[in-house]
Amino acid sequence: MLNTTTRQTSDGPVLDIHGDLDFHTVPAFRKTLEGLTLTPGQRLELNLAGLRFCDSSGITAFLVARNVAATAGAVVALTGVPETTFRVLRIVGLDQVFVIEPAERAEADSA
Amino acid sequence: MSPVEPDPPPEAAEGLAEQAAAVAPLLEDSAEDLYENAPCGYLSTLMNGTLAKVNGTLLSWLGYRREELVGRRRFADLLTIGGKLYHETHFAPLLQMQGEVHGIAMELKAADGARLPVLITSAVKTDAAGEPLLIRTTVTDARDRRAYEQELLRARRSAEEAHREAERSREHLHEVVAVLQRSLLPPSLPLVPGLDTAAHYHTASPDHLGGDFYDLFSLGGGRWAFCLGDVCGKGPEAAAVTSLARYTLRAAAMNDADPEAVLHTLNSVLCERYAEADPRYCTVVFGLLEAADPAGAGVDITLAGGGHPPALLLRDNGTAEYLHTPGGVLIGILPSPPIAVVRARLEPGDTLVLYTDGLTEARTPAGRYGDEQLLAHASALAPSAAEPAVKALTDLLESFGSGLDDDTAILALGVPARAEENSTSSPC
Repeated sequence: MLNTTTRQTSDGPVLDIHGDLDFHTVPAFRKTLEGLTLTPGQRLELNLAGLRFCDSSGITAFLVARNVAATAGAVVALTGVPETTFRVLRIVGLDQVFVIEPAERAEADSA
Repeated sequence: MSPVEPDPPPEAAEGLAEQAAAVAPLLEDSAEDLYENAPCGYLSTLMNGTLAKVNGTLLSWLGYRREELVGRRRFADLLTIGGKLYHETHFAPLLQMQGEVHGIAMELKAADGARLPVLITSAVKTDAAGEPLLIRTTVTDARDRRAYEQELLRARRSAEEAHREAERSREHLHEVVAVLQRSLLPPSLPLVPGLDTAAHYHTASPDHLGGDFYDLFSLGGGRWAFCLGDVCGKGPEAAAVTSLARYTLRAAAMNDADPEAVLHTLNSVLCERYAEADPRYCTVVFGLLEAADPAGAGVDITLAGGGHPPALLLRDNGTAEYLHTPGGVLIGILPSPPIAVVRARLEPGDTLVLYTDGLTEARTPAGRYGDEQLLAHASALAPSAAEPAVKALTDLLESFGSGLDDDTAILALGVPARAEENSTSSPC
């Protein structure tokens, strides 16, 4: 199950993600991403605070977001990243690719 | 005429009375006429089966004249061979035991040899003292019912055939998937002098091609290369990337065996091949094996990692540790990804284990299995040669049961322990 809501801020759109990013939910999520309107210099924020589960399909979704943003001259930030997802992102090296703001607990742990 | 009906209006009552008067002569026919021309067949036999009485309906169904049957033939003579057997072994004994038998499906043989499907009901008539006198039998025409049953049977047979066809297609799919899957892996690991090797591939589903791969091959001059990786996604598209990755790694290593250069080549190939709209990437470790010193045992390893989970080192002294490749980024998305390179030496009795994240991401009652538990498990295994290490990890995978929903590849490379410590694992 995945529930995504989009809101606009002065920096750009924010996608609040609730539920699972997996093999079953990612195709719909990709459609949401590809339907976004982004302008150069904007920041696309994926708020993962409500993310329960993320497998490699989820990683692919983040990369799609990156491509969508790059095409529009925008950047992607992952915020509220849960500790488990942050660990996976670090293993695959994507902590070097995305602007990542971990969830507060993870931030405190890694500080 | 029904007692529950309210009083009909006078004119309706008159109408009913007229109808009753009109029908009365018709209803005056005798019980004998009813017996003869009933819409079902009647027959009576003596206790020995000899036909004593047959009604006109049954005679017309069968095409016999009364004198051909009565006193001359037995009931069983009217049955087909199968029917006779059934009558002998089931029907007659049941009738004798219970005094009556209901609704048995049989076939009667008409005078012209045609078969008439019927339902038979028989009852034994007894005298005042309870002694059996004769058997009365009702014969109901079951042709419509038989046709209906045959239609049902036909429908069932065609449903079963469709089911078998679907099963065959599924088996065929499984065969195709299995053949393709094998083509993504070496048929068997080559014999590497001075090294024990073992591998295992767990397929999560016989319906889907997995995206994990491993390989081990000679570069000539006593050098060997190995790799293990995990392509994103499942199915034929992932398999195509897997195949591309495996052969690119082989070809690149032949050209320049430097592990970092090999992974950069793979990255360029994947970036070029897969457009931005559909990112295809893999996590991979690629390593080089060289004899540590021509005189002694031991192997030097150079390992390059592109976003892959750390390798495990099972040491001869009974400890285990991770061989991290920190900072490497998965292959196929960045124009020039950072690639982490580490070096290690395998001394006799040491074993290097590579795996994909199906192992650490397996679901257990206490959550994901995770790298801490894997390290603890490896510490308990060490020291271990390649084969028992892979066997132990295969057992671990099996213990996850349905918690393991991803493909998992495991490759282990070990330097045999010194001969005096373990005489069974001398270098080959």
